[in-house]
Order: sequence, then structure tokens, then C-alpha cells
Amino acid sequence: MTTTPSKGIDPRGPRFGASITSALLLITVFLGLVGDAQRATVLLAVIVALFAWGAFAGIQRHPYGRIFARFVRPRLAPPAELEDPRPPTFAQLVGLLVTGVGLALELLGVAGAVTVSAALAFVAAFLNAAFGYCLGCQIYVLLVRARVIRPTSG
Amino acid sequence: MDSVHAGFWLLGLVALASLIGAWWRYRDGRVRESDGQRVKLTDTELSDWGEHATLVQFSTEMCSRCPGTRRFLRQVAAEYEGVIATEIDLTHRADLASEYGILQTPTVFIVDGYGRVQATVAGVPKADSFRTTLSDIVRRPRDDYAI
Repeated sequence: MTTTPSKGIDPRGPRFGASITSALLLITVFLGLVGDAQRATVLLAVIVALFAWGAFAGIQRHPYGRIFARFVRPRLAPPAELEDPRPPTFAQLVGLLVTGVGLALELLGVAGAVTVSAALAFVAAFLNAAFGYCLGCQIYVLLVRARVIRPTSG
Repeated sequence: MDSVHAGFWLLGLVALASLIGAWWRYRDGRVRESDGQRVKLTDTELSDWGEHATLVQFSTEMCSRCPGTRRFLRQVAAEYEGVIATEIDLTHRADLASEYGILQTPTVFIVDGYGRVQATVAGVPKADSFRTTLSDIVRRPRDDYAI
């Protein structure tokens, strides 16, 4: 409550990024299903890196955010309202955890871990892209409720 | 698995995600009236009270749809006499999330002049039914509240 919100972002930016992410995740699931575990793992590793970028550098500095700002947003009408960049940045962290765990398990020898985690992450990314529903953001309140997240001030 | 079968699985996955999205869109923001007897807010939770009703929004800092809901509630509150909008950040009041069983943000309570929760909304309130319910609560004669 006391923290000042950072500069607002166009809410369509994260949805644009989520649509690219969901397409990549769908390709990962496909590769996993047809038995090309190697390529599936490499592609998921790229997605994990992209999630890490968004989670730690912030959603605005994510490559998709830059592409959106540079090439897509100039073609669109101005947004009705701007959005706080922190919730979608937090959602990137949730995506990083889901895909990161899948990648780690696969590398530890758990067959199918990449496919399953890519499928789970796809559902979340698709809900964001197609419906504007930020599943990752919703998890925050559950973590607060479970006292996993505690206020840092006040 | 061959590509054709894999393709069917992908279609199934997209269909499943679409169903979840459609179901969520249908459920989100529905105004549910409660009997006003179960949950009661007191001065410890709220410092500002509307004479006829208080619109209480529960938010967190990581809530993408909370700012829009905040604007909506302020606008609605301004349309009614004796109705105010207020907000509770659950990051600092995790106890309330457990107490009221709040699973998502924004969640909105319509609280009457006696602190009784008359309606709850999980998600961004659907504007029309929210106004209808609020009008109904505000219009109720005060005597009706006697138990």
C-alpha cells in the first residue's frame, strides 16, 4: 500500500507475449508427444530462460515486451487504461517455476516431465493470451493466504 | 506417438484450456447475495463506513485487475447517497483472507450499514447486476434488518 506503483504498461503487452509463449509451449508439447525429447528439452530450456528474463528484469524489458512496444503498439489505438507491471512480472516467475521444475526433472531422468510441465504452462499462457486471465497473478493471493508471502513493510 | 495422434492431443489441450477460460469468464464477477447473517465486519477491519453500504474491495499488490475494479467501485459509490468504496490489501491482512475464505483478487463485499455482508463478488464485478444488487440493498427499509 505504501509502495509507489511503477510506471504503467499497456495491458495488451503481456497478452501479446503470452500468445508467443503459448505457441512455443504447444510446439514443445508436440515434440514431447512425438518422442523428440531432445528438441523438446532444448525448446523448453529456451522458454525457461525467457521466463527468467521476464521475472528478473521485469516484463517491460522482456524481448516480447520490446517487440510489442516497437512494432505492435504503434499500430494499435491507445489502451483504455494502463496496468501495473508487477502482476505480469510475478506471473513470469510462476511460469519460470513450472517450466523450470519440468526441465530439471527431465534432466534428472524423469521421462515426460518436459511434456507435462509444458502442457501445464500452456494452459496458463493460453488463458492469459485468449481470455486476459492471469493465472499466475491469482496464485499470489493463495501464497499470501498460506503465509508463504509476508509483507516486507508495515 | 505419430504426428497425427500428437496433433489430436494438441487439439484436446487447446480445447481444454478454452473450456477452462469460458467457464472462468462465465463465473467471474457474478454477484452472489448472502443472507447477511454469517459474515460481519467490524471497526477493526474497516475505518470508513458508508451509512447505507460500504463496498469493500480485497486486493493484493500483484493483482492485475484490481485497479480497474477500484475505479469501478469508486464510480458506483459516487452514484449513491451514503455509499462509500474502500480497499483492504490482503498482503498486510492475510488473516482476513483465511477468515473470509478469499481465494482470488479482486473480491468485493457489499456490506450494509450494520457491517453485515449482504453480497460477495469473486473477480471483476459484472456492472449491471452489481448496481441492481446494490440498489436493492440500499433501498431496503432499515426495519427489515431486525432479526
